[in-house]
Amino acid sequence: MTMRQRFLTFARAALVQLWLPVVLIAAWWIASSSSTSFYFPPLSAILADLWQGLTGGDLLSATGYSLRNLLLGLLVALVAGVAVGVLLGLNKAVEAATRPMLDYARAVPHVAFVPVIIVALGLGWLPKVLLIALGCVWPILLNTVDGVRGISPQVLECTRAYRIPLRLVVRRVVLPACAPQAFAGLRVALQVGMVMLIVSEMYGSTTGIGFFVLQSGENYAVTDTWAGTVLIGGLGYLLSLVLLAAEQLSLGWYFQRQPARRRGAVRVPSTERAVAS
Amino acid sequence: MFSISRTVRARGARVVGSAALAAISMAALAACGSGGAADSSGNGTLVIQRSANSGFEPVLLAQEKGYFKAQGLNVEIKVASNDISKNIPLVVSGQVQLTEAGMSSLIAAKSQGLPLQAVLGVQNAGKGSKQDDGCLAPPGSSVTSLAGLEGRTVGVPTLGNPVQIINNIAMRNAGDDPAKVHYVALSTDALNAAATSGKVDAVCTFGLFYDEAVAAGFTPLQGGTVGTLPGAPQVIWIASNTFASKNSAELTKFTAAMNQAYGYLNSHDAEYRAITAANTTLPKQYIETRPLPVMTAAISRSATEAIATEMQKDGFTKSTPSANDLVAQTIPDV
Amino acid sequence: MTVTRSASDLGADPVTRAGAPARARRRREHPFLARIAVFAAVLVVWELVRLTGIVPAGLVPSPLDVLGALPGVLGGAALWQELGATLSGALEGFAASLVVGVPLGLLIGRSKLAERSTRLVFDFVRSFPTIALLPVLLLLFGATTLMKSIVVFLACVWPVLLQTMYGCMRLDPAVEDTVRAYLIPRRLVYWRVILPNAVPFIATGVRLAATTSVLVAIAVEVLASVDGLGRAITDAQTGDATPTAYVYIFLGGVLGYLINKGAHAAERRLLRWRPPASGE
Repeated sequence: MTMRQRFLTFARAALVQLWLPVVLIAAWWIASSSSTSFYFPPLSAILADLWQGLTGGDLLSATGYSLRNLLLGLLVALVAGVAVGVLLGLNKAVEAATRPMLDYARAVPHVAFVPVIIVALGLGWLPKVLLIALGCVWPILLNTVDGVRGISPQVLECTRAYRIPLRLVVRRVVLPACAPQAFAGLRVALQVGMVMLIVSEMYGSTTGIGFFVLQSGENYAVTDTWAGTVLIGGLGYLLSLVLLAAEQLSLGWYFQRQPARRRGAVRVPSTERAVAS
Repeated sequence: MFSISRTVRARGARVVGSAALAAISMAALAACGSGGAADSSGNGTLVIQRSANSGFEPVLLAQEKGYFKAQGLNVEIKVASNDISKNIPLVVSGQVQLTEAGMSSLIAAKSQGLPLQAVLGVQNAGKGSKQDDGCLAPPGSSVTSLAGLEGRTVGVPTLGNPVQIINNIAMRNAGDDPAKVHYVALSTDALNAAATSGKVDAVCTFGLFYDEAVAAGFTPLQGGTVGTLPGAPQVIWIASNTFASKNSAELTKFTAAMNQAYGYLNSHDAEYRAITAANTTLPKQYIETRPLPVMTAAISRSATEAIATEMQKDGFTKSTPSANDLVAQTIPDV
Repeated sequence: MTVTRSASDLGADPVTRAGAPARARRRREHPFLARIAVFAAVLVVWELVRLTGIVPAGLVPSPLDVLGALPGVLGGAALWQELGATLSGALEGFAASLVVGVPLGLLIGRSKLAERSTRLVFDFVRSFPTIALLPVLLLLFGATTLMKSIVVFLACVWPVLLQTMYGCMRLDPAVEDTVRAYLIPRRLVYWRVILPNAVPFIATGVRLAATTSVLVAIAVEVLASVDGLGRAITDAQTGDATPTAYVYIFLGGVLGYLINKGAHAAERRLLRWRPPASGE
């Protein structure tokens, strides 16, 4: 392929994928441009408000605060979810005994615990991180269990036959084997985390993007509410792209396989319960 | 990523797909554009929304005793959200014609340009009646006066809640600076526990939770709404400006029926408490002993303006609507 | 909004089949006593945490208090009313998501152009936390049951839509080649090959949406105090009846759990006819 051809292919692909978003945004822009409706401020006003909040106001630091909480919460959920997931995945009896409890625990509406956790742990970032972790841990944990259970029994028997130390087995066999599943869980967890991030800032907050949106709604500052909502949407999309890139980078070996030979990771139970709460 | 055979793929489906998508996006946009401007009045029924937890007794009594019917009004009563600030949007969108709300919610909405007004009072903070809200410090706290709140963290049910605004007025009256207080919103039932466990230095609370705080040895730091801004409107009825100007006859009838209910309940405490008991989960003991408000259609202009002024000073609003804009002419002053 | 997309997890079998030997194995894997023990252990830990005072007194009731409040809630008429409100809101949003999601997914999934055109938009809305729309929707529709149904719809429509799309797009290459080689008419291919192939995926999407719907409904009720189980929780909290609040919280969990299990069972039953997927 010549440079020119390659460019044309790329341009066509970009055009096909971009026209609809562009049309939708343009339609929003035009339809709202002369809007006098209280609830639908012009998109130009929303974006101007957003820009002003990010450059002049404290929206940027608020977003930073929320983002840090989200990443910390995800990290806690990842470590706890994978650790417990591997433990349960390797130990059938324990898994069978705790499964109903785990299934039940994640079905309980977590949102109702927000006030209690905030008051128990104080007004700082700690309870917020914990709440995010509480919502995010389930998809990671259950997916990891599925991933570990998907390891072919022969492989594990083999490691036993050769008396390979458990620590090495976990690091070299179990963790790589369940990584694709854990990643799928992490992607769901990110969506849950975004929800918990907002919910966690309902109480005991004086900053944060969730606080900004909720408080502006409370004060009927509709343009602010829209601006914050747009920002949250962009943030969520950006983070999902970052996660996808990280996944492709770290699991390159996995994606090079034929889809049909990708063991385990294809079952979708993983993706359940994305919406937190 | 996805391989679909060219022959299998129906060219027609492609076109239909894109067309349908375009149609749906347009429909979605159109739906958004026209969202919620319906007016459901017109069939002779007044759809109104009562508060979920305070000041709903008279309207229920008026319905039960047939005061509305006697006026020739057909009234349908809905229950509002727990959070009184969420009641206003339904009036704006016309899904209900009247709603009960707090004055500070009206002021916040009004300052953003929403065309609303108070059309009837329900209850005001009575002069000389027992204090049932305010700011308190937990037992053993080093905070003993309003001045001590400067630089401290104070829990409130919501930011901009009436109890917070009243506390700020009280602080200004005492020569202290409320801007130096760090207010933080906590769930109402968790406020007292947050103070006793040291997560916040003081709380502003109301009703049952205020009584519980006092019983638990908390120190009141000010005189509450009754002491700080006597006559302050606590619960009011709100309508959109358009509805109020087009339906003055209905409003007059509504007001007459409600006045009848106020008159009756002001002299029948037991029935007031019975209505509360039937419609809330509040403990019986509290319902039986709490001080009852004085119900009146009147709204104090001066207290309304004091609240509006304080809200702008606190940064909750960018402008201060005047009392004449907020309160309909027909409502008597206190 | 749940369906993950990048290649890895959509590949195939959304169903686990249970045959007779599996049933026997299941019995072995259901250690009843151990499960009760785990449950009891959780209750004991809960009580211990409460007694240590990590959580301020009065905020968390003892398990016994919650048990004591249970008959009052179960016996009252309010519970069934709240339950009905939650389920009807969830059902409305869920049904709307099927009505919109399945046909749209079938249309878009059959056209490469439509799929590519919508990809960015769908990726964006999918990663958008529905709850973030709550303040805007509250301003628009107020704290109403309509608003609840709308939020449920917005949360449920993506799993249904995207799964339907993937179901249409994922065709075994061997089947594709066969269809092409024998010049089978398009219409026949659609009804006999593509739709049956998509059904398991759609079923998974529907199951995800079903479980999501109740959770979202309760969350909206808690956050915006709309009628339903969620509002019963906040009502009990603001009425200072903490044990009652917890009864409702746990009943909400039971509801979510049952719907999850029920949706799984329904999916398994529905897809019993399905031949084993390739590669297994």
